[in-house]
Amino acid sequence: MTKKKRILVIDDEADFTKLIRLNLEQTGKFEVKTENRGSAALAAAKAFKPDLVLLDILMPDLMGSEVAAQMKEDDDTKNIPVIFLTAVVGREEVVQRGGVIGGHLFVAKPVDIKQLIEAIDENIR
Amino acid sequence: MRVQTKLTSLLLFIGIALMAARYLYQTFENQRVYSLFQEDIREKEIYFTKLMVLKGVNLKTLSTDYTYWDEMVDFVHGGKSMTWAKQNMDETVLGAYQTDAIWVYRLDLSLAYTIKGERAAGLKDFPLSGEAVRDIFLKKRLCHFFVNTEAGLMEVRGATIHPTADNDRQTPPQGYFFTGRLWNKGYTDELADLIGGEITVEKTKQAVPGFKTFLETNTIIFSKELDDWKGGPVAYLDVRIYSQQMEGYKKSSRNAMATFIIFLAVIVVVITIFMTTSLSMPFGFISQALKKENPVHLRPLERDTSEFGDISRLIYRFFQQREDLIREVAERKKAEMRFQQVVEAAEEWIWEVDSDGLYTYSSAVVEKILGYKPEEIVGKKYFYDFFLPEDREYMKKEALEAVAARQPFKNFVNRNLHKDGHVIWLDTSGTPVFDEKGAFFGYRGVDTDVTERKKAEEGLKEAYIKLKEIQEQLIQAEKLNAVGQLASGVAHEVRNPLAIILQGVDFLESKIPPSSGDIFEVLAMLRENIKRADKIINDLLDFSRAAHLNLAPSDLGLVLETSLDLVKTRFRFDNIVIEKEIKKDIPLILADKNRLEQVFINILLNSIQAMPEGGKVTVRSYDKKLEEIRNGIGKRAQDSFYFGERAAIVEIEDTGCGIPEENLKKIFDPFFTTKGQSGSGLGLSVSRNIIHMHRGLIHAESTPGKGTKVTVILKLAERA
Repeated sequence: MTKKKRILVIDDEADFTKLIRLNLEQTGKFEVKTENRGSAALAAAKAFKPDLVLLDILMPDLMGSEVAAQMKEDDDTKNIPVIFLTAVVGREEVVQRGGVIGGHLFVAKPVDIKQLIEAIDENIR
Repeated sequence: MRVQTKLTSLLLFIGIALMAARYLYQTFENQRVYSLFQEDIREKEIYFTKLMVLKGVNLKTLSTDYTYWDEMVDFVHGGKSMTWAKQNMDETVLGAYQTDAIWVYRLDLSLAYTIKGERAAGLKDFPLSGEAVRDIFLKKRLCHFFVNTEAGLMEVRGATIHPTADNDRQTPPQGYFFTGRLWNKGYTDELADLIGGEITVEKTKQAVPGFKTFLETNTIIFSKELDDWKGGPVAYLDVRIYSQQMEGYKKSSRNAMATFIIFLAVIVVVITIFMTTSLSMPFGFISQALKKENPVHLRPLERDTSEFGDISRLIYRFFQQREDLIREVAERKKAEMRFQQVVEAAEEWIWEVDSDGLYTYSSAVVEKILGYKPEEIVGKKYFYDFFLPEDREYMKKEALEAVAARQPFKNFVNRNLHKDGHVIWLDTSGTPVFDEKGAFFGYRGVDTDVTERKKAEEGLKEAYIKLKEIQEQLIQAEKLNAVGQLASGVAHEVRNPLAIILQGVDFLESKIPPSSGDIFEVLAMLRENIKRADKIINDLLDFSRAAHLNLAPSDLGLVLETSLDLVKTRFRFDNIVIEKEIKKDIPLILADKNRLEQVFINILLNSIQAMPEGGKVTVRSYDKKLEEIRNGIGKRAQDSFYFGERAAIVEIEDTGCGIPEENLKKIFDPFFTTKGQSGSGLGLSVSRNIIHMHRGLIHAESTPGKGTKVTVILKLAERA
């Protein structure tokens, strides 16, 4: 049995992170940790050492883009792949652009769990 | 030659002519006198000869009467005595017959008798020899001759002696009889007295002077030859007769001539005085006035009633008029100079054209404005030659109509071609020009170079349009920004709960057993409605994001093809035919390809949805000059296209249900939809925004039940 992939989900919506965790974990492929504050995201990533981070863009305390920048600057986290979750960009547009906006992977909210898992599988190391 | 000189010459000529006339007259007169007096001279000669004969008649009578006489015959034969001879031929007989000697010879030539008068006392013998006497009477019976003797020249008459009965001297001569008269001074003086002249006897012939001498001396001179018995000259009589008549004639002729000359002199003097006072002096005054250009010299002729008076008054007037004219010319020159200076200094091009529009004058500034020298224009160019070729025909027509109406025009702004080919804007004003008689002969006017102003205007206009565009874009952006913020907010706020619900649905689906049919159905309904809500948010975001365009020159055909491909891969429409009429080689348009594709997809989807039962969609594209009048085409700042601008056109036409008129106006309004819950009402609104952002136009025409046509007009990347 292969080792479960560690996924860190960072989103200010606690309900959303909880449901994402439940949906991912019940596949048996993932070990999921959630964080609802952008400002705590880097610490959480350093501590948890995830294989992939799902990162919300629009968060009240610290924007997802800034969290991603902090992670890029930190040696412990700089190589962790990040998939942005966004409610601002429409799903169709994300699909039209092949899931890449400004060099980052994007998944539009609301997202199908199947689509999300496909995206995670494609981008995890 | 001056008239005075001519007059002097004329007088001189008259003088010479008169002298010549006098000379000729004299010559003719002499000839006349000559012919008159020649006859007289001849008559005088005849008269003299007759006189000589008359004076000699006694001699002749004596010689003839004494020689046919029987007693004389007897005497020479010796029948009569010497006494008889002395009785019949004595001193008395000599006196009676005015002769000086008588000789009677016998037939044997011996002298029978002789008697000599007192004057012939010195005479010895008969001056001729016996042989000579015989010779004389050899052929004739009578003789008459002259002979020189010791006593002087003697006239001799002789005859043969015959009986009384032989009057005609037919019988042979019985003896010879001579009588002679000496021509001494007394006799010649006597003759001279008879003819009233002088006679001299000369041994030789004297030269007879010509007529000239006669005229000078009034004396008729001629020479009379006296012959000897042989017929040769023995002496000459020089006869001179003084002609009283001639003297009288000459006197009267002289008087006539003198009278004539005096008369002529008087005439010449009169003519001279007349010419001097009537011609020379007035001429002098006039000449003086003209030479010195001063009418003061004409004053003596002021009241002259002759033609000179008229002429002098005319000249006086001429001088006055000339002065006026000079003054006027000077003033005109001044005015002209002033005008010229103004014209030269003016930045405006001042010109004149004739009735055909051909330039008759052009100020020099034209070279600065149009690049042509005035001499390249005047008489060579028509005003419309400078118009821009595309403007020329209708501008010429318009201008010629104004010319035909003889109307002044003002601020007629027109485009012209500079000699080097660039465009010059001119502001032209002109006014028709008429001559004194009111005949139209052209236009005169001014052209101002307004190219810079025009450029500035154009620039200003462009800047204004740009500003307006930017302002509109700003307003639009502002509006869209607000909408965008709202949309983003809504998206964020709505999508997050939607995301949670969707995750919940996913979770629940994984947790319930497969037999729970109703629960699955409810969860599926939840999932569908989450997607619907998400689509509305998507459209809202599209609507708000139209503000940002990535414009680039694009191939309209390619955009249409891509849009059609996208539509085909994403939607199924087996029963719909798509017909393409896409023109190749349309100039590139300036567009954001993705946005434009979104527009065409929107329209196509609307068309497809309008034909649930199937039909035909025609996609047409082409380029053309916009010449129809419609909203958005024209000269107003808010118009997207100017009239006549070339643009790209896309028409998407379906055979669908059509749109009722009341809805046609609203189809581009946000949130307007006839699709009920399946449409957001933002598709065409977003499309219109995108097209407007491209400074294009979009409109729809529709016939309910037949179909709808949507037309999109787009700007070309480069203005044609």
